[in-house]
Amino acid sequence: MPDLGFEVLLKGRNFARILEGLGIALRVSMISVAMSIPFGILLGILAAWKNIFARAVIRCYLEFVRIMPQLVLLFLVYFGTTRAFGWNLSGEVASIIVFTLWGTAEMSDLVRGALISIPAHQYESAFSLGLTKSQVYQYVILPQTVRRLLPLSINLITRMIKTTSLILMIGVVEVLKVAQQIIEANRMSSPNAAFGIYLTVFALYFLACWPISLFAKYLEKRQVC
Amino acid sequence: MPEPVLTPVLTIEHLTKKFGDLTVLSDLSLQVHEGEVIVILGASGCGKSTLLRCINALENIQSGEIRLNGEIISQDSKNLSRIRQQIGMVFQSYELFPHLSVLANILLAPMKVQKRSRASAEQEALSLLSRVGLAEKANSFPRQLSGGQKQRVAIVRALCMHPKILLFDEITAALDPEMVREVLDVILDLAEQGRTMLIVTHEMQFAQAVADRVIFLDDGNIKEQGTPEQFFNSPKTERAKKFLQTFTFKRKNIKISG
Amino acid sequence: MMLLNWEFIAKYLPLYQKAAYLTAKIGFAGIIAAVAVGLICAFVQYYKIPVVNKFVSVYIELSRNTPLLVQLFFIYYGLPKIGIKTNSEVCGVAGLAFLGGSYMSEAFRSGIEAVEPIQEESAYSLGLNKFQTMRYVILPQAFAISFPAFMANVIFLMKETSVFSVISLMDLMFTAKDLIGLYYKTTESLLLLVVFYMLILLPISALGSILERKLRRAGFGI
Repeated sequence: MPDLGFEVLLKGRNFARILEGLGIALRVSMISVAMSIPFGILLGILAAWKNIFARAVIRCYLEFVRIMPQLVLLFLVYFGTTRAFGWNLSGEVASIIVFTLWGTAEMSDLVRGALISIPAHQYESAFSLGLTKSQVYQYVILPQTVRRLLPLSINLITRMIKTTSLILMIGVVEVLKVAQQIIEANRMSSPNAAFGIYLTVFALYFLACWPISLFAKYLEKRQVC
Repeated sequence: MPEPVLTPVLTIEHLTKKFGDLTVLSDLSLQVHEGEVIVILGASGCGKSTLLRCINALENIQSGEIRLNGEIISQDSKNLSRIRQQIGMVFQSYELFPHLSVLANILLAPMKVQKRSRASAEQEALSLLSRVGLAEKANSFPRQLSGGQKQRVAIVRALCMHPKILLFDEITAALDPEMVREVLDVILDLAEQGRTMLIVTHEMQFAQAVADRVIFLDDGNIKEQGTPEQFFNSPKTERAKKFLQTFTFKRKNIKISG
Repeated sequence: MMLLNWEFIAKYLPLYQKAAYLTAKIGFAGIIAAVAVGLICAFVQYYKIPVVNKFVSVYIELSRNTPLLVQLFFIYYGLPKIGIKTNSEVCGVAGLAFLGGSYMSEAFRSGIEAVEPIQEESAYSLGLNKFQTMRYVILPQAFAISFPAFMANVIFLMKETSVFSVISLMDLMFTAKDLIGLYYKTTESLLLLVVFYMLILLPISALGSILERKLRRAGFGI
């Protein structure tokens, strides 16, 4: 039985290196999510502004980010800024910028959706009780919005983790790149290592995302009751 | 005077229906004769709707037997579809198919299930629609109709299958008061035609007018039955009296003692 | 404002056209495959077919909790080592089907489940059998309900095709990266990249909105 890569994995620091690679992808995700959530909430509220110009700008931004593949955005920032401004962004910084831009757009969409999903009679019945506008928001609308938003924003984390796998494409040495290097280094002794190594990467991504998905699902279920 | 010979269309014997540990119908027996109109009364939760659903095999039953013209009705029947065609059921919430026009709603089963030609089915559908006063709505969609209109379409949809028996499950309960009348008139008309019907309703005056026999369900069984005159004027059981009282309003004499 | 090198753009336009065609072709093939996988999974879950049901649940979790890029690496570089060989195009379609199948399945399933059970009962009470009820009553309504989610998935999958260059498909990203590396015509290459993705994605998005509005106007109870 030729080695399918699992022996290679246990050789030296190989497995530790793979985990470190995953750590880089996760770090980029976490930083991006941490920035996306507050920015997204802010933008979601700003999108309800009356100012036509501001709304048009926000709208263009949202539409562009939504329609373009994230990888295209990554190319635009990574290669484009070098050209346009002479910046030499590291892959990691470019990734964080792009994923924050993307995450902010997604998050603002979720905020808008959650605000819209609260039926008008919730406002009306709150006003009819004599609550002031700020009281209506504080006691009636925001608590409901947050409850709806919570599972969705947690889902955004898994989507972010999956999306950050793209940083490989702009040369960041993350988990897939490390996997490639390990396979390459053991090409002679274990020609079939690609199977086990990529399966391991697959499993690791799954282990990173699945618990978060389950948690989001749990929150969603609890909310229905 | 010799009694006319009555042929039972529907026979229910020792029917027991449970939801988990909760017994909804226990050991209920009932015969429905050709052309008979039976109104089923009872407090909510007494199992009226469940009884109708069992007759249409929408619920599985724990024991007993339901037969339509001698043929057993159960969820395991091989001919379930053929038996159900002979039972027309109308629901409280109309349940028209929202993606189909009025006419398409009515024609779906005659054409797909009974394989009738469009021409003959359509002719019948249109004549039934005009009979309930909805001829001009044939090409409308359910969302364009009022509740009363939807319910009349649902009745026509059931009639178009030529059922041997019709089941009406609180069909006016979801309607605005001013629309109740138009639907009940249709049912009175059907009674005139000699249709066999089982009706669950909360409209007491209507029940009195339409029923040949009133059945009072309580605790999952028939507590009392009789002609509408007997039942409404001189109910025998305490439970029936109490039930009927809930429909009369009297101001209590309030004495303010100072 | 930088001046664009129009000569360069004209020269490499056909290259981008070819790449866009490849992206669109594999994208659509993959989406169709994903719809097929999704429909099958949705039925298996709706009718709770024993055993298969469990496999479908595991598949859906695996597919939804891993990135396409990693799925493609495994299919394209990993699987051949145990004898399952594919070419780039088949691998691209298979990858999209694996990823998209679960998303489509969830969209269809929630559409089917959103149709009130009493609609099913009223169809049964008219004598329709299981198949007829599904075909004439539930599916048309379910499709209308799940259409927005379906359209979102189509666009999502089309965007995901951007990683195909890792399995040696000469798609738009591959072409852009190649030209940036070779000629340093970054602005032009990126501009063409954005324009061609717009040409693929905007019509899909516009068509989706139009159909959605039409469906809503047709009033499927939603």
